[in-house]
Amino acid sequence: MTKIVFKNIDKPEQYKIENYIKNGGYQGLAKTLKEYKPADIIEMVKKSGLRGRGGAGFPTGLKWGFIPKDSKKPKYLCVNADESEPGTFKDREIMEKDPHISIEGAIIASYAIGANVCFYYIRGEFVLCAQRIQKAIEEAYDKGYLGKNILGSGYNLDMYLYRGAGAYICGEETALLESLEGKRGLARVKPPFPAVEGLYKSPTVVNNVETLANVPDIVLKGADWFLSIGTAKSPGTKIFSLSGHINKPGNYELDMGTPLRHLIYDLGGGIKDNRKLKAIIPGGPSVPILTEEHLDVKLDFESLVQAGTMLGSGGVIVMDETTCMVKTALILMNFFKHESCGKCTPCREGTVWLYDILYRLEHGEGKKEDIDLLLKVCENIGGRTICALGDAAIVPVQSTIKYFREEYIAHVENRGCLTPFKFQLN
Amino acid sequence: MVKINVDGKPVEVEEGQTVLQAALKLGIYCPTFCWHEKLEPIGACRICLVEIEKSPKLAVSCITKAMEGMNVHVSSPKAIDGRKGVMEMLLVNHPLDCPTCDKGGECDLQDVAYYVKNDRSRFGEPKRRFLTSARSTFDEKQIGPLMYLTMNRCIACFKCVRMLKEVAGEYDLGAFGRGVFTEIDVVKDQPITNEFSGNTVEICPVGCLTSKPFRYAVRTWLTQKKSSVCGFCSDGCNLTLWVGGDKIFRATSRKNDAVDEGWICDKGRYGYDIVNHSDRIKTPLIKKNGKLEPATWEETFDLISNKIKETKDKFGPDAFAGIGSARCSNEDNYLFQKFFRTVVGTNNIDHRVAFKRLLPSPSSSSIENLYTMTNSIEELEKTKMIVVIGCDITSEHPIIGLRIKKAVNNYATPLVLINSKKTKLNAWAKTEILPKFGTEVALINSLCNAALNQKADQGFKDWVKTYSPQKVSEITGVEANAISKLAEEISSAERCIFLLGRDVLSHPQNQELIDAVYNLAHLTGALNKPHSGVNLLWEYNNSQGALDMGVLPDRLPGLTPLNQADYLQNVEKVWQSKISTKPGFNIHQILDGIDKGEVKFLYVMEENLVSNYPDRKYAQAVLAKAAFSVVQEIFLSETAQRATVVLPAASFAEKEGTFTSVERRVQKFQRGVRPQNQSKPDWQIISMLALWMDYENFNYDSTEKISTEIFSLVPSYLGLDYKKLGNNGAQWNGFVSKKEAMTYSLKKTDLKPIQSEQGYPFILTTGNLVHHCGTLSGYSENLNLVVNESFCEMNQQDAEKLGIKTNDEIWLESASGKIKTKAKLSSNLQPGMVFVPINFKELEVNLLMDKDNLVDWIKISKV
Amino acid sequence: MILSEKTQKKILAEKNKYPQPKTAILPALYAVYEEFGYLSNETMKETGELLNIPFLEIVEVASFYTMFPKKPTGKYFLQVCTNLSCALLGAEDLVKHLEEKLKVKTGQVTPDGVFSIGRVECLGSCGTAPMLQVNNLHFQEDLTKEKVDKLLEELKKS
Ligand SMILES: Cc1cc2nc3c(=O)[nH]c(=O)nc-3n(C[C@H](O)[C@H](O)[C@H](O)COP(=O)(O)O)c2cc1C
Ligand code: SF4
Ligand code: SF4
Ligand code: FES
Ligand code: FES
Repeated sequence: MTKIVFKNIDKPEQYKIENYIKNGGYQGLAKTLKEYKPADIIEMVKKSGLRGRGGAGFPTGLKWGFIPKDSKKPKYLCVNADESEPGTFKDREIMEKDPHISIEGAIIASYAIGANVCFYYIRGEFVLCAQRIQKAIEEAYDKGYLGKNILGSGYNLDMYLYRGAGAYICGEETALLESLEGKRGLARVKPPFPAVEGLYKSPTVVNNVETLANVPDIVLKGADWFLSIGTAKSPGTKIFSLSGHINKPGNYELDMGTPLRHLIYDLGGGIKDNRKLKAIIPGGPSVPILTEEHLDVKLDFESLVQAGTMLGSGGVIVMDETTCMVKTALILMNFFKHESCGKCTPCREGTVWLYDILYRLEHGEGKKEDIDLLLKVCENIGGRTICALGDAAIVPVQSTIKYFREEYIAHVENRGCLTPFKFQLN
Repeated sequence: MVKINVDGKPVEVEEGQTVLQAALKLGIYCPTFCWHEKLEPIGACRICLVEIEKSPKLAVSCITKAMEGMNVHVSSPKAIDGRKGVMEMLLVNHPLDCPTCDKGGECDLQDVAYYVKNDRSRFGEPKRRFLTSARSTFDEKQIGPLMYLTMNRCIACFKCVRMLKEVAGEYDLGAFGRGVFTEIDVVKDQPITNEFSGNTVEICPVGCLTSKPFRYAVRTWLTQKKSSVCGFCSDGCNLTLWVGGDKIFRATSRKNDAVDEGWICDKGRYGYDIVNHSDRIKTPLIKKNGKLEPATWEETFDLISNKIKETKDKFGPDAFAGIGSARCSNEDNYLFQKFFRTVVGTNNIDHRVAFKRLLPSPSSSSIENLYTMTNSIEELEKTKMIVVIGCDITSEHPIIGLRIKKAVNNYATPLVLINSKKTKLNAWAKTEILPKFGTEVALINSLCNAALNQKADQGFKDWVKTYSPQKVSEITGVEANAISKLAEEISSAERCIFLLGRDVLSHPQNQELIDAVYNLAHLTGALNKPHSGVNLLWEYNNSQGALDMGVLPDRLPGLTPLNQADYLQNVEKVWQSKISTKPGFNIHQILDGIDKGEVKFLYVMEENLVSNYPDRKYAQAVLAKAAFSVVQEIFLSETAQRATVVLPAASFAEKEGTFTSVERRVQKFQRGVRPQNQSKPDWQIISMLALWMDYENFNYDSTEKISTEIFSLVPSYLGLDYKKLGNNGAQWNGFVSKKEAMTYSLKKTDLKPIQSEQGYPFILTTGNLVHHCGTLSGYSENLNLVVNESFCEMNQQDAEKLGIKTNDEIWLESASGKIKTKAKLSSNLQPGMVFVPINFKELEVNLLMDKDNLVDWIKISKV
Repeated sequence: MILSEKTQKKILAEKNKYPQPKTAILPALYAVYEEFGYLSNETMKETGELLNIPFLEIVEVASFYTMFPKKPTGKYFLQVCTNLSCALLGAEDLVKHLEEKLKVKTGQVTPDGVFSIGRVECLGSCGTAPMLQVNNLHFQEDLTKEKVDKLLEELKKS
């Protein structure tokens, strides 16, 4: 397995700039400023095939290329460190243990798109991350990696740490921009895309922390090197956050295309207490669940789509045989209804509706028709909302019904749940 | 242009226009909730979903740009299904309390539900509720003096909040929380009172925001809609009056893009209730033994006509005087002056009662003598710089204020404010300059000095050089480099519009100040450039019309001098009467004439002389001396109370006619309701009186007949057609349109410093409050819910020195009189200045004024 | 001003830091929250005055984000993550345990004002579930009953 983002993650006090530099840090930036024009960097990243690690998997170089070259407006880079997708905690580990790798990536990206201001938007609850990033930014200023005339190149960049304050939707790129503008974090209709009209109506790129953390090595080692890792269409590595009923939870950086079974059984040590596996959410609850039959699916963008799900954020949640699927859907729907920004009708109203039905089912007041009604309501949300939160919200319902319809029926017939979550606190 | 197909029909729209606009252009209906023509689209409600071929998802038409070759389907099964789905979602938490909802019959949600035709919901859960009661209709809360909120009905289109923020720049209604608990509300201790608040009620698609005066007053389908024009300020907003029987239930906007763009201020929206006020004069009144007693119209006409004959026989025509009104229609004013010039035979008429120092009567001899708005409201969007001088725009001209905000927000037009006090518009201003009161002329001269160029001859140059920035800085208190900087900005502006308001018109050096601004405009080129120019903003709904109609001692209709032979001939022919060419008395001369006993007969048409004349004691004394006085009024004003005969007049809503707005726009208004009680339209009273006296050429049986006469006689109104005035009215241009070829000669306008008065350290200034206009709006119970109490605004430091705090009772005292009011401390006023609103008849502010003293000096003491 | 001088300074330091003034709202609210532990109308009004931004806009923004309580919480606000990964490993039991130990329900404050309990969505500690967060500041992870009891003891003492 290749390590790119996590290559130094366990080195002692890697978060300090002297250690980061000692372990080869900021060489990508130095090389960038010395050898490349912004357009070269965009070209290189395009060629590398790097795709966004924030959930949507959009080709990163292509996104940078959308920034209009002739616009007189200022340009902005926003680092998306709002990591709030349940089951996902990879960006947190990067920020806590190796903050500079993401900052170096962000500086290179800013240079590539011609930004002189970069916002590092961290979800408010990540206090240690904010401290580490703040410190790292200060250190980078001290060493001349940020500020005026970076490394004598004439390029200027200011970076601000910005803390969110408890809103999952602010991880959605346009809501993040609204939040940065000092407004309520309501998602915007796209187009216009941020690359054309983003922060303060100016061209803006929003990138995930992990995405950016890949950039220094791509510059240093070249696009071809990156292409040689992972699969042809999903090059590179991906960090998977493993949680739930698993023996060894945690973050694992894997080459794209690694089989799911390897992650769960070889690295994750298998299911807790040797129980049977029931379901896996492979990329955060915004993506459909998989079951035991899918254990051999390869973890990359294309293979997961083929298996009927998506790579998403890489948050892998493992559920054993004791897990009630209605309750699972209910917990997740509670999350989505709580996090809906409320701007567009189907998501605002629909998530609550779905929650109400699931609640009844779980608590013994379900009717047989409710199961089809759930699906109908999902249909009425999907594809009709402003942002992908609406599309995501229906996924847990649709996919649990798809694989476990009989469990829903049992909830109706038995007037409630027979397998409530068993786990007790030790 | 982009070509697309909607439901198979081809249509061309401009680049950047949306699919919705394309559909609308074709007349294809597509429902909308969150979309509003004048607001940035946000694509939130999703009801406007349409199908676009080759696109996997349905698209929201209100925000999707039309692209060449698109095939859009509004009526395809997929699109219909999508909208059905959204509608079902919108009704999930909506209370569906339509039977008891005040919005019933005009609710967009009802209408779209009807259109979508989905009669069942699959939703069976308890509905979200914001307040405790399960009954949603009366689960409401008052959020301002004139507004209620029934949050359960909100569909979160955010139009209310967007309108206030985007258009008005007001922050007293907001959206809070998130998700299904997104709430529209006010914040603690801050009820919604901004002057555009009523627009939110009007654009709310459901019954969430309702107006206190209108709710549960009537079902809308039981009312009739009448096209009207606002009768308060001069901006000329178009109104729809909703009437039933003899009652006006409400006023809403009637979009006129040239004027108001569909937004109206709360004076216009809520002030209609003066019409049905119970204090209206009910019958003609004749004074008997010092008391006004009800009489019949016949009795009064008999009395007046006899008195006219008698007086004329005994004392000749110049023993008469008439005061017309800036509130009455063109037709009223036209007949009024025609009556005086023909039936009576005098030019003793005027209407400019509030000004101590009268400007010369406007004339069309040259642009600077027109004393009018030479640009249009729309042009504010096209100019490159706006300079406001002597005007609290938001209070005096709310709708012009909105256009200025739009110019600043959308086109980044720099705005300059030159006022003796800070005004609300300063949040939009690039520069705010606060010269000391009375020194404005020096400031403008100094700007001219800095802007000198070859247009000025040596004489002017030498003279204006004496107004160096340093010297003027000392005089005005404005920093020298601020003056130079501003001069530079104005000179380099590609186009520039100057707006001169109330404080210029009533300034002790009003004429010099206007001329000085013309000098500046000339030097900087603003006089000749397109979308540039100098604009005087008259105050009332028909101030311009009263001037145009010749209610002036030395002007025939059309701002024509009395002795302009060819025109005079023409007029005499039409009026079938000889007309005196001897200029008559102006307003001050009229009062002096009565005082001296020369004027025996005074006729006042809808003008509250006692309240508005800048010397109350004098006005009262003079009225007491008048041998015979007729006052035609809506309410028994202080002036009417002193009359020999009082005639009940109809308000703007009870008659039809035309008003000429501040931008010279002649606009027709329909009659809303029958004249209340026994009142009659002013023009009708005059025409009946003339007929009573056998003047057959006063045989007007409709307003149209008068308008037609005006439009065929009055130069600037020639060619207008009463029938074709249409929805947008028409601007008279006359001289104004030839602006580009204008010549102008610079005038030397010297500063005459104002003299202080021993023992009276404060300068009194007056004006309108945002929610009022003149004394008339003081009768509006609706508007009085917002503000109904007078006050004296004074500078904080001044107050502290006198030990005065906000709401303390204080005496204001001048050499002429003394009044009591409450203090309001403010940092907007400069030291030594006070401001008192003119809107409340209880506070007789003109008791402090002396007509012979151009500045009103007062002293203040705690009660 | 109710805001301490230190907080006022912090807010003013944010005021002109960003390309546009409203961006300072959230950082300013953090400063207020750090001083008081919640946002009141009065403190938000003062924030608006310092930033020269309408009070209403401050409240609008504050109302959207869940991290700022709008009324006082206990001195220690214990928020238990009840999202999926934590729920799979006993989050509900954790809430129950806290409620029993502190004798208050979720959403309430203990009579001595020391503790209050709340629920929160996933905090990115799923790999170390179950977890709770103290005052939006400290994560307590890999919780067991014993650990929770010890935590309560320690907090009570400090
Ligand atoms: C509801 C919602 C929440 C999201 N949350 C995050 C997040 O926490 N972090 C993130 O990087 N991207 C998140 N995204 C994806 C972003 O919108 C965006 O695609 C991403 O930041 C782009 O970065 P990338 O191209 O580097 O992946 C979210 C998207 C949605 C719809
Ligand atoms: S889908 Fe949900 S979160 Fe996204 S814009 Fe609509 S309401 Fe907001
Ligand atoms: S109150 Fe009315 S206008 Fe405002 S958001 Fe709700 S429905 Fe829309
Ligand atoms: S009208 Fe188009 S989304 Fe609301
Ligand atoms: S689910 Fe509890 S921290 Fe993620």
